[in-house]
Amino acid sequence: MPDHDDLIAAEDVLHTEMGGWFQGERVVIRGKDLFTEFKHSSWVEILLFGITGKSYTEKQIKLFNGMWTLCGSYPDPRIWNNRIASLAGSSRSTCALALGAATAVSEAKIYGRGPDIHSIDLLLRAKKEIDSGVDLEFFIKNELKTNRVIPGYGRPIVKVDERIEPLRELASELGLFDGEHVKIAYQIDEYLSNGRYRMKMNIASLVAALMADQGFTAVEYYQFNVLSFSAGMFPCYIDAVNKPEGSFFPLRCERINYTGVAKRKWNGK
Amino acid sequence: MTNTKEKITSKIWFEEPEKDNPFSAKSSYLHGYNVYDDLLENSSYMNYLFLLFMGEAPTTEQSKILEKICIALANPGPRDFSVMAAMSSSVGGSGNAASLMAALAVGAGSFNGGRELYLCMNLWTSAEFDLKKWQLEIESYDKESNVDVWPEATHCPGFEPHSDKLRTQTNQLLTILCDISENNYLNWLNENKDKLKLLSGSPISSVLVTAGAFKMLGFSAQQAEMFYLLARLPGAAAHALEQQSIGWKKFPFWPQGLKLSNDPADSISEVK
Repeated sequence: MPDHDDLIAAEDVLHTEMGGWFQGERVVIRGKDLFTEFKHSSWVEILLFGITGKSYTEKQIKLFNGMWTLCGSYPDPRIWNNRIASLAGSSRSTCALALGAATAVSEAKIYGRGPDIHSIDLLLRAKKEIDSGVDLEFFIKNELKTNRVIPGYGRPIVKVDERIEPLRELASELGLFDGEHVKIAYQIDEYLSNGRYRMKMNIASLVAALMADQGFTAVEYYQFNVLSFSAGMFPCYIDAVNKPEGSFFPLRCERINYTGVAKRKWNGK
Repeated sequence: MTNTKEKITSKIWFEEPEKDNPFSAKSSYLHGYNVYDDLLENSSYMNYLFLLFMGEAPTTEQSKILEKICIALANPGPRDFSVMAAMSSSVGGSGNAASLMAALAVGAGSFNGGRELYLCMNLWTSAEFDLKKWQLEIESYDKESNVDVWPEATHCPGFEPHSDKLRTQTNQLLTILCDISENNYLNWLNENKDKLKLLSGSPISSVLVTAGAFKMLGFSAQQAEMFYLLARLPGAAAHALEQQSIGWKKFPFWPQGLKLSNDPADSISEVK
């Protein structure tokens, strides 16, 4: 039976280990002093420390940085989330509103955060199943039967994912390409691309595999990726705000393909 | 995919251009009705909204139900988290759009938000008027462990997580809606609210009542979620503007309210 004792207990007090601001003195983040312990840290390091509470090696940070740089920084205003930034610029809205909305929009089902979290969840479950003796083919067929899709495989608009090779090269250079989840991701790719499914691995699966090999949980990986497209959004906004207002792919009235009912009168309802 | 003459396909809206400007609409039609020649003069706002979402004019009963929902949802009050978000935005001098975006983001979740309404719509669809099905749904709400961008459910959608008694206002809303309509959803809920409390251990919430009303109106779960998100914004807007004029100095900050249990300077310290 619920009651409101938990609300009374939380009234006017927040107990936390996440951090706080000692006004005029210092800042603590997850038990560490921001000004002394993170003076030489990159922004990605503190971002990840805030999410996971862990510190990472130089090579890992290079990999995480590279993932964002190579995989999410596409300044193409036609891409659905970037388009929000462009429309905001063309409508003379602010850059922060543009980025805030475009970031929220990046939590999509067919790209971005949806495939991200489902891809890593799939790979984490696949490894667990394989480690317990389950055959990979059986696992994939079962996934297709249950969910009808394999997250991280197949891609809207084009089939080949141009990001895979550059990221593979970077991860290999850093010596971080040989983990078990990456192997499983490629095994799934081989099965799906050669069989009747004709689906190739997309970048969501490879990034998820690399992050799973670095010990990330599904939720940590999702949270890390939330801002990952932002570098591509700024150019879209800037370009649009510097062009005539309302000139971002303007549509004539006739460009609405109306498929609804014929003209009619309201009859005073 | 071709880049030439791509079009937006819509059953909702079409436009006829001005003779001298193909980018300017001379006439706009909503589900076949001329907006400026007909609806602007002859329709009420509620009926226009219903038409927009559902494609047909509402019955008198549907229009009344929608209006009552809109009144009940319009202002959750300044203690509500979505309204708090809008006020927290405005006291710092953020723009009005930022305040509404804040209210939308916070008001989207599975605690009183759009997500809970959506889940309640699915609950209604699955269980309908069968208490055994409701029991199964209530018992299994937290059993599915599908990883998703949405955090895991921490209370059964449609039932109070912080109250052991049916809230007075929830009951008032249900009673008023039942007075307007004899539709199955709301009357069934009114007749079975005590049995549902026994099944779940918690009283029904206003979100479940609202979802029942949306079911009565024929809304899909997605339509209902969208409408719910929209309908809760007016209060957020009004309270944001009010707090903006009052200023941040008179807005709660809890100066002594944060307790760090892992302060490197002191194992348990209070933020001054």
